Amino acid sequence: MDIDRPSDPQVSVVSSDGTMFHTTLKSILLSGTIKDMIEHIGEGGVENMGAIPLQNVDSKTLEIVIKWIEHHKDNIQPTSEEIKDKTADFIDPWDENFLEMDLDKLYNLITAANYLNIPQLLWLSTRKIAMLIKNRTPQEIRSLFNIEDDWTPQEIEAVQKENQWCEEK
Amino acid sequence: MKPKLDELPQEMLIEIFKNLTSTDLLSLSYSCRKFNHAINSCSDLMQKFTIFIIDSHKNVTFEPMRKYSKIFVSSDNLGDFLKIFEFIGDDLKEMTIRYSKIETIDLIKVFKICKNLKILNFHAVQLNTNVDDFNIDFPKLTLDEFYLLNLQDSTEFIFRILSNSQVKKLDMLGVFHHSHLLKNLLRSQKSLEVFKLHNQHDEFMLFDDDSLTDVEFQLKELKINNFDLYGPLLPFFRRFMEKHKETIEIFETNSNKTFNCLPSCTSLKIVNLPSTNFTNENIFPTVENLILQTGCIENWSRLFPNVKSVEITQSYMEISEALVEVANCSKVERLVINYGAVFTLNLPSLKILELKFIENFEICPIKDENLKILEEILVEKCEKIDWLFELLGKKNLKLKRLKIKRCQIDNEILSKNLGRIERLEIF
Repeated sequence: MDIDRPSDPQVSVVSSDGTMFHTTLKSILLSGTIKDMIEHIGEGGVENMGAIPLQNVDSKTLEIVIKWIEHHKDNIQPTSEEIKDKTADFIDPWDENFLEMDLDKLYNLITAANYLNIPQLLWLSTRKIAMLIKNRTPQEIRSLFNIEDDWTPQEIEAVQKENQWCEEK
Repeated sequence: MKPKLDELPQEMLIEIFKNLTSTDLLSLSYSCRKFNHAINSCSDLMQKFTIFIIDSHKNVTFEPMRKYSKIFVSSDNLGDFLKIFEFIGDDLKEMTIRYSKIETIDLIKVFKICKNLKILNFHAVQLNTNVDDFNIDFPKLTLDEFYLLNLQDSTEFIFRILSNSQVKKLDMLGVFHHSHLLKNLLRSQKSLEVFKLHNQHDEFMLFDDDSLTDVEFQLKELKINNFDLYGPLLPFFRRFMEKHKETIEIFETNSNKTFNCLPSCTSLKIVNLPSTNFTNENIFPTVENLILQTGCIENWSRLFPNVKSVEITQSYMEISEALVEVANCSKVERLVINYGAVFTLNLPSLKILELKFIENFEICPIKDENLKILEEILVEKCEKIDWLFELLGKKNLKLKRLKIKRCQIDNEILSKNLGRIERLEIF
């Protein structure tokens, strides 16, 4: 099937909580997972296929993902391999603004981008969290991300001793 | 309830942590067990860590939970740390030793433990060797890369250890007055693919006979800088280059004499070549990829009639002069310019243009035939890229690929031009 046809038919997707969203084929093909599904349907399948169920993505997150893929539908996205060479010091201002959201939404977005196989969105959202971790002490990390300190004093001493070998004096 | 980062699956945590440095990873490992476990279980993350063998660590216990692949040694007491190598030796892939005086016997012990080393980096290493050390069985290593810098008096023994091993890439700087040893070493290196030699003051000894010519290595890249052969030795070097011309793809030199011995390679890198008057005999029809770096060859375009790709790096003469020469090469399809100021382009056959670290840029004069078949543009860290979209409009160009890396982009102008770009990559 030629999925790069010039016309851009409508495609429907359904979130895990049963909400249906409509978008274009060109946009949804940014998801490697859905692209694989569509390629397996065969010739002429897109027009006749029903809504695609996405059981691992809730409606709030799916709405965010669709906003992102529709904005980027005309840009051919880098592959997972190309992402490895990415430098982190320049981000498209639109994406920077798009990622201004609560942590719970960001966590859900990361999980969805991974499930839907959208490497660029996964990179942007994981990088966003990483930038929040950067240059923080362990206590600051625990406090910001609501993490319980589950180390025993003996265990943390062993980790500290090992980490000393990795810190250049 | 406040969301918890540690509830994300480990796979996702690793994706997040990949964006961080080893210092941040250490903070994460102190934060909670799950983060520590995620870091320790991922080899990509572990590659960010280096174990430091320095004297202040002498009394610190070491019972590693992680599998380290990189080690850095800067200590005159390597023998005191042998236990560390016993813990992690099997996993070590990369070792750097800097500014250290080492007992040869200890280095041999380390090599025997670390059988899987792939990259070795020796910088100002001094070996204390006893007569008995020569009777020890030297360990055999299979290295991908070996870097030697300022070895002073220890070259002889290091070469002896290495002559028992196989190396793919050998890069040497300032390893003085041991060319006869180096020649013996090279003769043992059947796997050598890349050989780089800088500032070897008695380099002529390498080519005082045909013994290297007959070595059956598959040399792909040869770099010999600050290397000047005097007359009687040139035939040996010329024969060496002819013998290996089938495999050598990249040759880098800054010497006129060695340049004249150029084999029929397809890629050539010229660095700091002094101004030379080449005769009509010096035509190199096989060269298709040419890299010019801070050098000066007058009228070089006639020397390379079939060049298809030209890369001009750093302040190669005046960039504008270089481009006049490029314009004379009618077959150039790809042009890469690293660092430069204002310049103009007149290249009718150009398909791929890559500009990196350019302060300013101007397409002038825009003749009808100029840049008409341009298919790909890559711009990286360039001050202004408005010209790019102006060019697309004026020439009515449709690019197969536009890659913009670390440049300020006017989103409005970009969105107006999206129809002209088949594949857009923004980094």
